[in-house]
Amino acid sequence: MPEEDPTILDHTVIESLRELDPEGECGLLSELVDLFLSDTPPRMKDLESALASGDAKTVEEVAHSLKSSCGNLGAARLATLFKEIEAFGRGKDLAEVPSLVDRSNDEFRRVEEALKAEVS
Amino acid sequence: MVRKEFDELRDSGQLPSPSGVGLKILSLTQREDWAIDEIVGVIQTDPALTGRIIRLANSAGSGATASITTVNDAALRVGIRSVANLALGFTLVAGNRAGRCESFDYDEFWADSLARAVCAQALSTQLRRSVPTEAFTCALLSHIGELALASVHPSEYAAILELSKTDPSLDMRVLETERFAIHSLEVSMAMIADWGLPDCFVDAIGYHQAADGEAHTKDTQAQELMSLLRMASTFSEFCTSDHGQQVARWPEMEFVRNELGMEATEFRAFCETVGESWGDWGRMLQIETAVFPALEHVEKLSKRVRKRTKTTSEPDDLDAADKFRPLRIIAVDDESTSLKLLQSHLSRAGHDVVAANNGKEALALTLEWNPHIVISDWMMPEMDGIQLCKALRRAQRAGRSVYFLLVTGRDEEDRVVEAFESGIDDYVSKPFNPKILLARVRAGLRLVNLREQVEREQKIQAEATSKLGVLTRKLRETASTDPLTGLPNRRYGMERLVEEWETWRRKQEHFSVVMVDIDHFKKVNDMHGHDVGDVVLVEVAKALRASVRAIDIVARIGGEEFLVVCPDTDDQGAIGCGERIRSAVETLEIQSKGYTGSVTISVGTAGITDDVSDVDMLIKRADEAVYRAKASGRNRVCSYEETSEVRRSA
Repeated sequence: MPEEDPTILDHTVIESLRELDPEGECGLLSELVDLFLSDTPPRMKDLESALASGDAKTVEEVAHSLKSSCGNLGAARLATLFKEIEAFGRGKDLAEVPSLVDRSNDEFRRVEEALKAEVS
Repeated sequence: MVRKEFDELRDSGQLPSPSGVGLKILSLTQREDWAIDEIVGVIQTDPALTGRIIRLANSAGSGATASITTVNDAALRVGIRSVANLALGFTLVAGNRAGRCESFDYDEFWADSLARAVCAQALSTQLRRSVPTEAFTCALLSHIGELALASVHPSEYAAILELSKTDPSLDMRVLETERFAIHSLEVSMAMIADWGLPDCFVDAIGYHQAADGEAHTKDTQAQELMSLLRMASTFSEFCTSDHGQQVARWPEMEFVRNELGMEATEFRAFCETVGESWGDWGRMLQIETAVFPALEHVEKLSKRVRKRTKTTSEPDDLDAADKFRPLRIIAVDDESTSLKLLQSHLSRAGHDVVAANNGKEALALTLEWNPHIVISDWMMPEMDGIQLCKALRRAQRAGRSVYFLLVTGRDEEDRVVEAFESGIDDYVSKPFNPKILLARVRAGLRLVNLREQVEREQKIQAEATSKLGVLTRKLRETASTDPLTGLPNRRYGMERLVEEWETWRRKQEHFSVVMVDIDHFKKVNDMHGHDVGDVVLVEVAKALRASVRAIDIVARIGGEEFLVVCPDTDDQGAIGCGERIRSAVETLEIQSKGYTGSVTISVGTAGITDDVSDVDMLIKRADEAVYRAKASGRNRVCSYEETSEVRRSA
């Protein structure tokens, strides 16, 4: 198994999720990972379209929700990016957001890879 | 049986009864020699009734035969008895839509009865058990005893209805029996029998709620009807419940499904057809029926609410407030991984959890399902956690007292003051630390337990208050009733006389009293003993009560002396009343312990005229008239106004 950058995926979070379902009988971790991997891309699309139409409120809301799910799965760096986007949305200042969105897209691919490795 | 108690109810003259056409049919079918044409003729005088019977006869058929267009066709197809019973049922519905019992919901009663009837009919057709029209009538009238008790004892029945509302665990049948020495199903049975409806109706109605109902009768028709009634009850209870209860009742509906041997979708379609038919009949009879729920939704919700141990022991002291029990919790988050985690933490701790994806869904679910705790995310599109909490606190029902736990992000914690102001009970931050989350839920459990304990104590208090009210009323009744004859006693009779006097003073209408004294009563006592004397008094009292109008007041005011207060009655009216009583008593054949004999009475009447200054003077005049009746040979009626003897027997 390759050695990941700890800031991409916080292993203590993953371990605590595993502890919730130690025998793995409920498949909780893989279910959460599936939910995260299937829900995040459409939400990021929502974020981009809100950004394109200059809808700061929606940008803030979607980023807030994405920040939560990243936190739940231990995707620390991605969570931080969404937190910054959320703050810009709240401040109705979207100038910096496009570059943050680009970075979050790249970061998501890394998170995806790392999570898939965890549940494989 | 409870024949005596039922007779008392019937003697009150307040029992629900069919009117018009129904009554005519009743009197026809109670004769030996009735003919089909007569019944058809009577029904046809009522076009609305005719339409309903034709419609039902058509819907009860298998559909393969030609449609029914006349009452005659209906009689040929389903039998004239069946048509007559149906007509009776419909006129009962039409004639008993309102009443004096304030806590009795007459509309709901008929909506419920109609649901039962429609379902019993559909089940009868489906299972080929019994006759569909018979099943309809039997189910329609199965709970008529409740209406009867509400009609005869409006205030007492209201009291026990209120009592059972404050504590749903109380059994209505037990409460009814405690209060009336007869319960509503027994009243239903007696009324059905009284109307001459088939015996199998009586048995089916009487025992369908008993666990071993079928063992009570050998009649297969009764057994078939019984099983239909049982399923129809489940169905009607489901129909008339609110959505939250419907979810809880779904497993009972599954029993019905098993009995029908249907697949889930087939059963849903069956129920929906019955629900539609319920609505159709409701519109036709102008009975408001509830909107039939989307069954797929109910079924799904029922499955989501995972059934755990049925009931946990109820906490009964303060120490028990911390005791664990599974709580109903609604978890709300628009973000799926957080929701999944929240659900997982709570389920692992043993709670029943239903998930909602947004504030609006959570609001609807809370009002439906009555959860103990709502745990909601703060930031959500459309309706956020704070708005949800505010909406719940404004709601009249479940929402107001639900324990509300708000989920906040780390960076929202400085805004929680705002959240508390909107009515949240506590907050927990995410990402969740399961230990902290569950500690907050335990704090909620403690509050829920304490709150329920307070509610229980209030209930016990309300019950005690209500019992006290009943006791006071019973005492008052005892104090104003003559224990031997059951008639009002002197005190009550005089009180009512004074009240009537006051009314008379305002309205200046005619008003008379009739005084009754049994002739040679002392001789009866001396020759045959007091036991026989008592029987004489009881029989005379009964004859008295049976000969006067409902508005007249009869009281036993002395040893063998009775007083009848007759409002709105002039001198001639009073004499007529006296004469009816006199002749009723004269024809009595009194039998007791080897004694067979009859008695006569002397009657005196007096009416209000301008020279009567008070109640005592009126009584005195009536007494004088009685004295004159005695003096001129007894067994006669004398009026104070007419000095001459008015009437004596041949």
